[in-house]
Amino acid sequence: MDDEVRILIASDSDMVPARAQGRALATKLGFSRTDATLIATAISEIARNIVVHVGRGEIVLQPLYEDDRYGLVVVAQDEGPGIGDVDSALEHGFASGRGLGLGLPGARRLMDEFEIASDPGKGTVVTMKKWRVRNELERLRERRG
Amino acid sequence: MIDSFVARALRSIAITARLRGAETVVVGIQPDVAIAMVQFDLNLEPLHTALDLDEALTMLGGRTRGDAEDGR
Repeated sequence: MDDEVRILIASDSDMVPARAQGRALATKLGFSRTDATLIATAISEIARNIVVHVGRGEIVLQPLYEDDRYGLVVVAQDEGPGIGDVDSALEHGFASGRGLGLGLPGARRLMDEFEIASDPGKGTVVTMKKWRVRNELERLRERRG
Repeated sequence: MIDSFVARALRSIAITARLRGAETVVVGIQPDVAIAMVQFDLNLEPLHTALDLDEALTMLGGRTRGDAEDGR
């Protein structure tokens, strides 16, 4: 899709455009300012995980258009060592040593859907989505053009 | 925007400052950022927060008055 945004994450400074692009796409999709901040915070968290634990990865942002709702998908992928115990990593307060242990569970709470696929030795893919319900009025306006 | 790593950095500053007898106040947290922080369950202890600089200075004023005069 032409709206897809890909951001290479290789250092702290790459998190700034990742957050900004996430916020911009959220705003374009009609998310509230608060939801845009929640999305930007979640992006920041998983981008930071890439920088701290792996060093290099990519974040892909994509809009989802459905009739009754719009969504924003964030996919963060890296080719790092992977997460040995995904369930523990999602527990509040489970820290690997360098973080607060809030990163992944925090990002999960900020978003509506959250999935981790991790293959030890090959990498990790985090997919998270936030939805915005489109009300009748909005759809009516669209139909009228 | 405050994620868990920023929160950790701010807390480290506040804890270090407290060991030197100083208090740290963060001001100007925007409403949407506050909501994100609550959802995140971020704990900023022992940081203090205030709405703006004036309120922070008022908050600190009661504690620091007189300290500057003895040249520390």
